[in-house]
Amino acid sequence: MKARAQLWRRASDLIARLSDGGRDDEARDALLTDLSAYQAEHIPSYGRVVAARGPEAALPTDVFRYAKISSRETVHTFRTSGTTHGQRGEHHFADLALYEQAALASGKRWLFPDVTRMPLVILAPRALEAPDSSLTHMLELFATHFGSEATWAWRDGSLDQDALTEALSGAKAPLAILGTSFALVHAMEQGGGTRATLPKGSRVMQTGGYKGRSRALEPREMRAALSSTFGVPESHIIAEYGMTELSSQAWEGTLAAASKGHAPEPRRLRFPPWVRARVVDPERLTPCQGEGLLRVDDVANVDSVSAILTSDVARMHCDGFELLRRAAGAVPRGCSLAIEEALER
Amino acid sequence: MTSGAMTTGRVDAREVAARALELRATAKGLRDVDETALARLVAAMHELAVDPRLLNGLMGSTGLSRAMIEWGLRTTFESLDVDRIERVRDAAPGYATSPYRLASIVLAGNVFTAGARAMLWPLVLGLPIVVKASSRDAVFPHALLRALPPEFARCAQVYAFRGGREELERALFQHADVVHAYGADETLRALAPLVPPRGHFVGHGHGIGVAYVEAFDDADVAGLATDLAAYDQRGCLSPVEVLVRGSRETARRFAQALHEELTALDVTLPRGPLSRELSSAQAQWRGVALATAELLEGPHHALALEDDVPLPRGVGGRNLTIRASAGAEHAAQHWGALGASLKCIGVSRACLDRDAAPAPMHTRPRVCALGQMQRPSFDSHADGEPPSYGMVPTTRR
Repeated sequence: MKARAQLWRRASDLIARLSDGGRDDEARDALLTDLSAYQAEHIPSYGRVVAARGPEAALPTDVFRYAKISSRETVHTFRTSGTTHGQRGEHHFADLALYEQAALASGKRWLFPDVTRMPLVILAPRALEAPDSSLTHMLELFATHFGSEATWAWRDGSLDQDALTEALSGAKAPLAILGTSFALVHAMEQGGGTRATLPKGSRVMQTGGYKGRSRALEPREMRAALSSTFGVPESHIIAEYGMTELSSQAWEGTLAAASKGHAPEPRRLRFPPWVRARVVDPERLTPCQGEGLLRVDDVANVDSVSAILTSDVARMHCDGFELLRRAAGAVPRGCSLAIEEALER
Repeated sequence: MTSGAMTTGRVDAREVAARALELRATAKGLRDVDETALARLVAAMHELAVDPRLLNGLMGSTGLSRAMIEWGLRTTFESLDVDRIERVRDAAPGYATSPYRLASIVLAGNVFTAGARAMLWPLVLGLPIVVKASSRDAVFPHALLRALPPEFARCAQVYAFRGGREELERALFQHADVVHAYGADETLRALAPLVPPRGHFVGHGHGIGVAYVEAFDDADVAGLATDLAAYDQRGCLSPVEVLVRGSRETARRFAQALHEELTALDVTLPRGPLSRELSSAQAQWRGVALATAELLEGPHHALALEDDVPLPRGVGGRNLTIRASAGAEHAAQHWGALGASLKCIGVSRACLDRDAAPAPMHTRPRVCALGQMQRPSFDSHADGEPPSYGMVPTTRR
């Protein structure tokens, strides 16, 4: 218990210390090493992976569908949305404090760097409708901590176009639209091509891919469409990357750069400095250059497993990573999938 | 356009349709070929199977090892002979007077030799063919076409273009009496609506193979090792899981024996490099096995021995799930949900001798001895249908 408490405290202190963008890779890596050792000892299934692959082993995300990945009693469980392939992955939490600390720190830095609060328009279900969605939990957090008011343009499993239209048409102050990729596409389509010109300073957060289900837009095409539809400059349209198996999220930095008057920067996703992200060779599972499978080591995953191997293909850069594609054959997943299913009804 | 031609590069829909119409006119001549012509065809295919130019071409296009390609070519054509062809023709007497004049064939790219049956059976049954080779690998269809004796070559055409080009696909089907399409289920769903109303669509969709073992011996182990290794587990006959009758300890003994056999095959019949997608799926699958079961890993294979947690089936690339089973009835129930996707069940000899193969209801897989899963006889049935299925209007089992 003491060991866990110490690890938790170290993680919380590190997140707090690095929330403004400072780095301390040595402290992060030392904590990750200690976390892996602790987790291998207390989570049998991860221990088996470490016994076979070594102390640096990462746990593939699929394992969350087959084994309980937790070292403590569960008070909350997030589940993946990959409903078309059978059992869902589960991420168990003994408490959500670290998750919330990490999400709020990153949300503040990348999505709300220039405001304390603003109106939010959210294209996703609320917690009552999706109690096990980590995305919904994050959005509820944002509504509570960053929203001067929040419109949830989602009702009974469907996009609430009327609520969305009303929220946008009456906007006098800059607002933020937050939604999954497919919900945003539906919003644009159901709006029948109607364009808004949102007040200066408005922004759009886009998350989730199209999950191989239907109409997919290239990132540039999507940004251009969102910019045209909502009258928001492309610098203020940013992607967020998260997954059920992680506590921390990656964000694009163009809005933060623009809010500081910095020159436009390349579109890169970046995890916060308390997360280590690398690409690994898909067969050897060792770090590699160029393209590879995205491996994420997240200190905020204290009570589960910090070292996670995703099925996503990425290219690392010195200032973040590009998400290239989901490796084919991987289980379709993600919040955009569940929302897409709802929109088909 | 030259008869028996292959076309790469830019493909024009009008040309495709025009060529298909030309091919229809060659049907009568094709039905007049005699036994001598069939013998020339068989000889040409046996020569093709050992053609070093083809071998070199396939090494570049398939990603399979040289030894694997040689094995594939040899085992594909080893059972092609005139007697077999004649037997199939005799069992489909309507072929000589069939109103069908043209078959369109859409090939998949996962197992290169699958094109052999798909292309040759229509021809020997008097049906000219217009073929779309997979854009992933068109080497084998083109080589087969080049090797055909003239009386067959003039009745065939091969195109290669990326799938999803509707205009070209419609042109391919426009004058066909039957369309045989091989590929993923979603591919078939996309193609079927493009076939004109008078055309008969025959889909050969997604499939997997499984194995069932009782009282196994060395030959069974060696046989399943070959079945798994063949084509690097890419094909719809490739086993993705094996049920071993008995306790988990029995299954472990089998797994260990299979692991040793596969380790040897990793050297003599080496696996080719994996695609990034397959490597990713493999990493996930092996991680699940490590975390919840027992994993036996070799240089280029892995066996997951299931414990209490049900494991996913093998993902390809020589990754196989092994489970203990209560017996044939349990196995049949376990595989029943696979339906039409279940293409092949390999069984141990003891099981075959007793005619005790698990046979899920409402499925029509090919049942064979271990070691034969990936080398069906050239005239064997597929999905319970004879080779003439879909080539002749009245052909049924």
